[in-house]
Amino acid sequence: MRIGIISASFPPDFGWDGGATRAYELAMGLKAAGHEVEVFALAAEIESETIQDGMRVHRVLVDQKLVQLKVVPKTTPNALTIWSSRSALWKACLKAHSQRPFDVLDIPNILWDGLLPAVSGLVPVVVRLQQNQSLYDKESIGAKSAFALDSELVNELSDLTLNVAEQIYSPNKQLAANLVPKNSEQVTIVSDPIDLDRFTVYGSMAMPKDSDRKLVLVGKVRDKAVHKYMCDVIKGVNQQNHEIPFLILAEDITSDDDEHHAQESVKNLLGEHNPVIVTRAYHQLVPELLRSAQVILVAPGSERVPYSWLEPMASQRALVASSEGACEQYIRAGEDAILVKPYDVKASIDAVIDLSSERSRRLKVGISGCRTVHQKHNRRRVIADLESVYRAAIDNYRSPERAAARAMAMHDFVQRSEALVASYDKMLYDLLFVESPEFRFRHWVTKVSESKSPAAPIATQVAKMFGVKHKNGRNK
Amino acid sequence: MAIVQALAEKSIERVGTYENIPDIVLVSAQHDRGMYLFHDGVINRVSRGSITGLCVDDGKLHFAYVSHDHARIGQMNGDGVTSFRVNTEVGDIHDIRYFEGKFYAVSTVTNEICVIAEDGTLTERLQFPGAGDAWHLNCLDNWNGRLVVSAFGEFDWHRQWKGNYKEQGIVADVQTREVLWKGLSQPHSPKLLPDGTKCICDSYAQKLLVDRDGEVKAVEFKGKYPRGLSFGEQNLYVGLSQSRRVDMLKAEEAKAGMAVVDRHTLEVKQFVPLPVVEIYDVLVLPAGEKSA
Repeated sequence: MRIGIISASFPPDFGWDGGATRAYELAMGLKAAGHEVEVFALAAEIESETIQDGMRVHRVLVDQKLVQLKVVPKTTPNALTIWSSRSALWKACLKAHSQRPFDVLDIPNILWDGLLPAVSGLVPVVVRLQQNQSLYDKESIGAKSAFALDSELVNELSDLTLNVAEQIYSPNKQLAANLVPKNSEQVTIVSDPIDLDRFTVYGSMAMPKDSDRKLVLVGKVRDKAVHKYMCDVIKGVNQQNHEIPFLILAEDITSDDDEHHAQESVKNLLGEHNPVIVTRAYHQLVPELLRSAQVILVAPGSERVPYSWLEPMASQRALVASSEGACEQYIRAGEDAILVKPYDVKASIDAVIDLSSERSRRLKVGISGCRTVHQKHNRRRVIADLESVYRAAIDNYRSPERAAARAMAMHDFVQRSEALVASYDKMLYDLLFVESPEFRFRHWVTKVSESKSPAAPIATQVAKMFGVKHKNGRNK
Repeated sequence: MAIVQALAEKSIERVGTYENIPDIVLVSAQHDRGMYLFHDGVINRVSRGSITGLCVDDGKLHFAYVSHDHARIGQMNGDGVTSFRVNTEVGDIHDIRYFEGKFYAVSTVTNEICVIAEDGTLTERLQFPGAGDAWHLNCLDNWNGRLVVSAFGEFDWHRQWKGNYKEQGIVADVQTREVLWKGLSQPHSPKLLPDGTKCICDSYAQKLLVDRDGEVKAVEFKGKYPRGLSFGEQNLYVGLSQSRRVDMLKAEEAKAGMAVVDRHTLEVKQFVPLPVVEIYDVLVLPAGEKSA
């Protein structure tokens, strides 16, 4: 099959966060299975079309014309950024498609990545559900924010993409039930793929064997709360067991200078003679670094989730993780890993000491985690599942039912434009209220004159004097 | 259009002038300072990005970017058109070189030297012993038909060289791993001159070492970190960086630059300052280079 993958983030530009890693694993897995893969992603600096790892990768820059407008970006910043970036991605994809048509397009991360391709109806589009699809909480945003329109637009764009996509897949049933409640049974469950040839218990280690009692802490060390949490855990563990050397695998460090500063800052917190090494999470070295450890602790807020959990598990290492996000959908608590509350230093120390001192427990957790990853996330198996999803998308695509469904989705979108206009009205009102003293004067004079207050007649006179013809917004 | 002309036309800013340098010299720098071209008495900054190794082959300039998690190597032709080789299996590329028709790159983080095809795939991988960045392999050169590499030392573990800098460094044959020069401290930029003289930047010792028929002379650069070396008919050109770990907040006060050393007397003739903190490579460009 000729498959296009659209993912705003794709490594190495913008790093190796969870979404980027997923898109990479997917592309590499499809390529290894013999498919022709092209990737469309945003560029960090330079727009380019390169052959990366044997795949054609198109990188585009966000069109700055809309983003640089004076007022609209203040009110709909996210919708505008999404529109600008995704239209640039679609332009590149359309060009490649017109030269050699794709059989299917996969949208493995953010739904909006697939909006324009799905609406175009030019090619079957397959989308993956994600935990945090919306930038806004639908419930809380409506009444109070100047970003009401932005919220409405972003959510509408997501919903429209879901409605016109040919096939939907999800990493788990719960997510499918939450995001597609009416048709959750139509959603195919496809786990996140991981390359088990790289992440395996077998292979070399990046750290000396004589310190293989090492605890590896994974997380964003430049985040103050995470930094403090890691140092507190190290202090606590060190007080109880002096034989454990520590390695911090810093996800958010990309240069020698940052690495040096992080090392210095750990030294400041823990003292000159602390047993801690801070190193970058070198993509190529992660398997060897993980294998060097007995226990791996993934700090809260890890940007590589779910891969920061799956990789140690695949390497058969005992994992301590924070019970946050969708972690319980990847990890069976107490079996595949020990889960602790985010930032619970005491529980983290107890879990590390427990696993470090009890070899059998450590092995049991490591083996169980490894088995789970092999059963669910083996890249070859996941790609086979995805191939079925693609085939179903291609088969259904041309049917009259699907053409009608796409037309209905567009019709629904137009129907819901009333809500968009209402949000636009509210946003404009809020903006004028904040920016214009005269508008505020009119607002308050009208409000008092329409009230039952004794001052209402005076306010009405004032309104007449100043020629105030004003109608207040519903929420003011 | 020759590569020099193509580079000159990409000037971002003019940073200064110079005198008495007969060669056209290209300098690569880190911390997003890009490349500097010394040409016709003017120094122009001709690119952005953090750049390490440079090489010219068949009318094309090749330049590697500093990127710890992947290899990104630019290739600019005589028309100024740039394409890239990108690979995520290797990374932290320190140097690149064409040798016997193959394009070699030093992947420091994986302790290997690899051959990268134009489509970014690896066609050969020469793995050195040790895990991770164990040896800190860095710069390549062709010594009478032998591809050689400089390294911080023969260590076993990732970054074991940290703190073990003094006199552990080597120059080794890439194929046989025979050690050709030892007792160095963070060596970089091995160079064989046409008369058989071997030179190397003994960076941590702040010296340029010049070996003429076994007699080794040192040119000292106190307070500097020599790295990046090239030569013309009369001169050696040595990149001199600030000592490592300079506070980037003081980068404005940086006094890195290029030393011009008489190739025969080894006298330091002049120092040309550049507005950078760290220089990685220096390359004398062939004046008559034609596009492929």
